[in-house]
Amino acid sequence: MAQEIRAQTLEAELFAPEFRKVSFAETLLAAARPWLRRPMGIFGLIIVFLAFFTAIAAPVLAPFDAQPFVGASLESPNGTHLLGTNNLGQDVLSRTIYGAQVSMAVGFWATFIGVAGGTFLGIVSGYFGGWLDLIVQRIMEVLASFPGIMLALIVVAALGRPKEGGSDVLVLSWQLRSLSLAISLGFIFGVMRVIRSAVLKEKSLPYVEAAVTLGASTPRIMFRHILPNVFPFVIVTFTTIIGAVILIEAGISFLGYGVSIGTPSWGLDLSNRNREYFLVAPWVMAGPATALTLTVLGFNFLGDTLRDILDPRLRGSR
Amino acid sequence: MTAYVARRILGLLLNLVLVSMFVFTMLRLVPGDAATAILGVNANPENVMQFKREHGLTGSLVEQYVDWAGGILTGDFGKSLRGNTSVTETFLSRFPVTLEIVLLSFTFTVFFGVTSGVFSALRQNSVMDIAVRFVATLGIAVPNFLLLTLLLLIPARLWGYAPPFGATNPFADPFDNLRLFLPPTLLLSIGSSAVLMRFTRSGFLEVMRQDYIRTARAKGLAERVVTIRHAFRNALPPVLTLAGLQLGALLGGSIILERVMGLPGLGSWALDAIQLKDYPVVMIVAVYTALNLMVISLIIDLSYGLIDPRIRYE
Repeated sequence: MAQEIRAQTLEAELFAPEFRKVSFAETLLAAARPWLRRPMGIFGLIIVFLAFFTAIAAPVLAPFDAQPFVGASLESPNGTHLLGTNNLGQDVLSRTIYGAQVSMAVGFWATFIGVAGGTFLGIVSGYFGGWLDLIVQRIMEVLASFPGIMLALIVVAALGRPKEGGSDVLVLSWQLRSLSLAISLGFIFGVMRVIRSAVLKEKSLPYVEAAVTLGASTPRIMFRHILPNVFPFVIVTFTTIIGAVILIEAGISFLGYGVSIGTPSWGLDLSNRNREYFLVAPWVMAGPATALTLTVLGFNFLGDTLRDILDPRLRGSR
Repeated sequence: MTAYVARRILGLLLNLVLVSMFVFTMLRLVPGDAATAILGVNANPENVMQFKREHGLTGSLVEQYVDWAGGILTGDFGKSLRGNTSVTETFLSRFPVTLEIVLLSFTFTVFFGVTSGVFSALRQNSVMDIAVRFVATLGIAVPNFLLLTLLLLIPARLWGYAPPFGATNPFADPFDNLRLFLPPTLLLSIGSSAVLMRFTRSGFLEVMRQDYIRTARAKGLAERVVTIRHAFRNALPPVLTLAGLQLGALLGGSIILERVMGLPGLGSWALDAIQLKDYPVVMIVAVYTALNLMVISLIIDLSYGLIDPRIRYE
């Protein structure tokens, strides 16, 4: 039976003129077309790519190491130190380049945990409904009762401040796991609500009923049938919140409660502690401030564009 | 309606209990205990024991929680582990500062967010629309702590001016008080205004495409009436919800604002307390913040009925 259908399909593909093979290049072009009309999306994509690239290749790109005192204190920008040096005589440009590592590591992983957790809870809560839904909603509401930054501060204190070192972005990602987890908690609720409402719509569609009739197991229905159908929402929430996540990490490090003193981080390098130096040497701020703002801007542009392309309801409204 | 409100308030109280349990447990997970954090590593064991007894730090986690919750019912939030002062008293003295910050920045957020959103939607794709959206996009991306730091640095560098340290009573000298509070709260509201502006704009555009707007125009109503009475009213409910959510962002931003400007509010108080495991302080600030957000969200949900009479509460 299955063989027969396959043969028929093959026949149709071979002989019907309207069925023709779509080449890879054409698929690529079709995927790229909506981007070509959205220059801001391309701009965002480039910034995001550059930010990740900088984080990974920081040891190669940076002219100096981030931590050693390679120059005099507070040198203004010059040939050796393009963005000058800070109060300790560290090279500002190198610290800005290495700073991408913390922002990208925590930005990516906190968003990943938040979106993965929110998606899982949203699917389970939406699909099962009933008392399970009620319990999940109640617990999530507790997390949503705090400003994200306050929740992260409390949780990071509970889990212990990270102790990190080294200049490998993957090692750093692991070392900063408590910070990532703490920040992610503030975002789970929002993601869960979006995915849950999408699941509630999907649940009533015929394909779910068909899968149930065919005897598919519940986890299979939830994660093989429903998940792919709500996946555009997963991608959109991911790119929408990552900018905010990066800002929260920078905010916590700015307050001095995030990464350890000394670690190159955009938030920490703009910290209150150094304010008296900023007054006499404003160039110390320029690198991390520009990098942080531009990165968040890039992620937001990318998020807006993806939402525009993937969510037809909102098309053209932003 | 009454049943709905009663159920919401019941849910709110339950949530408040869960919130306090969550924060309580979190703070007890903190590596090392409060006694060592405050008395030092080399403290005399007898002093440590006495300290623990005085502050209700003996017994199991559940006993400690019941002890704390029992205190609350009699209006006693305990004593700060550091300094031994009544938490309630310090809370009351610091609370007005945070309240003023949040009230001012929330007013700015709603005012600028909604007006610029509607303005932008009415002139869709005009130069002004593009300019407003550009500023909003930038406003979301610029970290608030950077703006606040610049607010202090630029006048200091140009004119050697620094705002006075500490807060003044808004009723004793309103002008002096506003000179201190207006600039930072304006800056703090930029990010949330921008979020609200984008949301208002897209919601308003959506409503303006509806058939009843065309009908209203066809009836020959003045454009002003169409926008205000027909479009604005229908676009408002989701905007209000988002505005309520921005309140959370502003409460978080208040922590940063208080730290940068050196203002003695709840945020900077909690910040130090978290570090020192001074749990009665963290508890009162956390419970207050959560209560604040929940009450506002309840008020917003109830106001839906006033804006849109079709909405029924069951």
